[in-house]
Amino acid sequence: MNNSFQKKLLTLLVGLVVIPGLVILVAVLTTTRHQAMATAESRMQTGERVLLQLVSSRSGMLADSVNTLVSDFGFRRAVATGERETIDSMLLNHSARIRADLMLVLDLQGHVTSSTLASLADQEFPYPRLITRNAQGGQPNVVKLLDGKLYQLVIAPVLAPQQIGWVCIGFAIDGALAGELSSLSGVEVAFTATIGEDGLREIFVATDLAAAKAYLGNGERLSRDWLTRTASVGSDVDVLAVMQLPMDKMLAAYRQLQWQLAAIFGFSIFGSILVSIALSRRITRPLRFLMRAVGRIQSGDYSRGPLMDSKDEFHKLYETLGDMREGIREREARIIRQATHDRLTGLLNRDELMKRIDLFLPKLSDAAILCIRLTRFREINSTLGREYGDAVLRAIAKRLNQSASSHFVGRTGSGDFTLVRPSKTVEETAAFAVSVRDTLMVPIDIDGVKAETAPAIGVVLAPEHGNHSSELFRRAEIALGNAVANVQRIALYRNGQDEEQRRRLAIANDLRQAIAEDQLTVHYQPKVDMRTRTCSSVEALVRWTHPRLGRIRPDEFITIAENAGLIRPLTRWVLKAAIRQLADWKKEGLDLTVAINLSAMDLADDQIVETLEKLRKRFDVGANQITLEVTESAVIVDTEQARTVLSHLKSLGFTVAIDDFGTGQSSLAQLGSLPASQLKIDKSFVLARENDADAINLLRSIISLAHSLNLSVVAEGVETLSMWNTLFELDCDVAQGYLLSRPLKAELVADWVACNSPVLTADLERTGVYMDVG
Amino acid sequence: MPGRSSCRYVTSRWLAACVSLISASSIAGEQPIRVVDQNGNPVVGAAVFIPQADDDASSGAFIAQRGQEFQPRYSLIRVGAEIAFPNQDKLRHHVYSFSPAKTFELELYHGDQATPVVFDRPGIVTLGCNVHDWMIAWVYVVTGRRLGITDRNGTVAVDSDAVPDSVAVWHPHAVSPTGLGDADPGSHIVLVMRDDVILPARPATKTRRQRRSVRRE
Repeated sequence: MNNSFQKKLLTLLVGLVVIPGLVILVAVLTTTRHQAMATAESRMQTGERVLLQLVSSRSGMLADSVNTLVSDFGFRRAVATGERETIDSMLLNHSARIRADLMLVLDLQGHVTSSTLASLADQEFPYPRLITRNAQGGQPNVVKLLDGKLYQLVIAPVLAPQQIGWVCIGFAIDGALAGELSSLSGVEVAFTATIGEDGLREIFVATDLAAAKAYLGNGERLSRDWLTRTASVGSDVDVLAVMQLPMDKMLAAYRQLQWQLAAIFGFSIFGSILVSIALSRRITRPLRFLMRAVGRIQSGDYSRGPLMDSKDEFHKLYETLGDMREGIREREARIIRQATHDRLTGLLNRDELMKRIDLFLPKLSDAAILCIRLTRFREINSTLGREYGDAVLRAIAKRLNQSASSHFVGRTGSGDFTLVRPSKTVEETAAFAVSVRDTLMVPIDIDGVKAETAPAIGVVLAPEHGNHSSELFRRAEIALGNAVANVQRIALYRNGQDEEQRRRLAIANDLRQAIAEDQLTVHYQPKVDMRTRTCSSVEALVRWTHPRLGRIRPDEFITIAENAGLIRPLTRWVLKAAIRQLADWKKEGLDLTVAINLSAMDLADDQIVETLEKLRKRFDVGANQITLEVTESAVIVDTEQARTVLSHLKSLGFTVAIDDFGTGQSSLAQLGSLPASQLKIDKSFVLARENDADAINLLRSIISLAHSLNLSVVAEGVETLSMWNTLFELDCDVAQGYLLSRPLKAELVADWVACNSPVLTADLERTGVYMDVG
Repeated sequence: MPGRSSCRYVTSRWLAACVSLISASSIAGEQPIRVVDQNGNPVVGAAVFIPQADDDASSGAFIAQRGQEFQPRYSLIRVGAEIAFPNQDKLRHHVYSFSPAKTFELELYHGDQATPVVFDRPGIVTLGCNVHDWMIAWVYVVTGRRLGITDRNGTVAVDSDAVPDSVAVWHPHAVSPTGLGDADPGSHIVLVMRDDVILPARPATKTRRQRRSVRRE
């Protein structure tokens, strides 16, 4: 982040140097290059001018020279009289005087009579047309190729006074000329000519042969390496003077400047970058300082940072940041406290307490965790108001805080507190628990209103009872549950209690699945009419074999179902199974009534009647075939609701039976007002009570009471013949028990009824004989 | 640029054209012989003579130098005749000839100081002045009867009764300067002339610088 700003700053500063620098560099280089090129051009022009001047002056020299020669009387005489030796010597003399490279004397026929070039002597002059043209006033200045060399020639007649011959004087266009030109103008000079039939241009002389060849090679006016200019020298032979300047030489100064500028520019950029870096670092230093301060706050370090040495805006900002930091620190402390503490009491909350237990448990050799529940707190809250309840909680918290030698105290539920302390021995812990209980037992007086909180304390020991807070808490909760039921109001967790609860949890979980997947079965226990000794009804009893835990007693899982809210689906399942079975039996011609148990919760279900009716109609079973057994205690929970439901059922033709009669605490008034038509005496009055006179008297009273209330009586748990006989004598209507049959699988019921009914009768009679005998 | 000047040569064709405008007049009783070049233009200054005829005995002729010119320009003499060179100018002349027929030199002289020169061999002798390059004159040295030198019309007047069967016509600028011509009076004698003759020209100014123009005779 700071890099980005610093980069921008850096870019700006460097840009301020680089861009004008580049512009200047380009401008200077461009101008210099132009200058260099212009200089080169001007040198070339100078060269051309010098060349033309030189050629022209040579031409003039030739003309003057030839005129001097042909005016010389002696020469004329020598030519006229054909004195070869004289002519030759004069030619040599004259040519030495003007430094001519070539002198010829021709006769009128164009025959060379004398020559300074031996190879041309006594030859025909190779350019007769030149003579003719000269005679007709042709060019005085021509260039011709003679003996493989180029010559600038002037030709003049020898008059004595009539023409007697020709004199031809020439300057060679040679290295000397090129060298002179080159030294005068400073350019490389070459002479090229087109000779021969093929029209190819050849180099005759060159001060720099390579350059000339390069020119001839690409024929371009401006090759890359050479600046080139040409000038026509002679008209007769197409002689071109090629003037060349090496580009690198012309641009050498430019190149040097280029490098110098580049170096200067490079250094200045480098320097400006260094300066810019230093500058931008200096500018961004307070920013970085601030960034570090912000970073510390971000990472949760709220300490006062180093002092800022400057007194500028950044310092102001830094101070503001300090204020902000203080604010954040306070807020964070508050938030943390709120997150970890109970707002009302200021004690640790449950999460924090668990966290601390987990954190500190390994360090504590032995610890005791006391779960304290104010069992009357809810009542206090509802009767004395919430504010009062809060005051109670605060008072309790205060007391707990004052109890010495605790590691942590926390509020772990609405009326729950938890205390963690070192535990030396079980006895010591127990004594502590008693002291806490006694402290809390003292009624709390708030504004004159006294409240008793009825504390209960569950105790677990670590590591004996667990290593994790969740485990310890769960077990403490179990112990607490026991403590609530305990007179001492204190209970220590015992190993294994947790497992029972786990089993219950597992059963509750699996039962849901069992209902859904039809893992349950219904067994039917026959009921026998004591007078006719026939079986006309059965009681539907649900059975469950758990895939892992094996057979589970109905008492257990039904209780669990009631606690876990599964009783309604369970009841419905049983209803459906039993009614369907009833329909099956009916098809087989077996006419039975079935008794089905309803739980107290079922009675609270508004839809139970509707469900029953639907099932009955669906399987086409008469309502009179169905008896609904309701426990006495179930009726007591909500008598009104129960009465409404049962009345409704009765009005629909169902038989209603009071189950487990004698265990509840129902009043006789309630019993009389119930719309029941049957009473089932609890088996505790029947089982193994054959010889109990009190029990028999009680049975007699119940039966006569029931009969007086127009209730038929069913006795459960009939396992012996003597009990059967006793009940028979007591005028009990129906018997049910192992004496007659254990609960049977549905498919066995029909057989049992068909086969065993008469046998049963006989059996009973036979045993009865025995009894009579006995 | 003075140093640059070179000889300017002008062909003589235009002069010939001027000459041709003047119609030739023939004198009664005389039969003219007319000499023309290959283009039909009159040839001026050609010597016409009859080689086989007897030589007349005329002797002595002179070529004066007047106004820095030879006077006359063309002379026709018999072999062995003598020519005097009277200098009528106030300056000295240096008359010379490199011609094979007669080579001589009369070095700088005044008036009649120069001794006459005897031309003892036939041929055309070209005369020049070493001091004045433009001065030029020709002397035809012949044997036979000399008929004359063609005038501006290229004609030579001949007595009608003396018209020979054949005549010789010489001219220094002819391709064959000392050739023979058909003497057919009333018709033209055609002399093939060179067209590349260069003659010294008199400078326009009186400087000592040499400027030459070409003049056709």
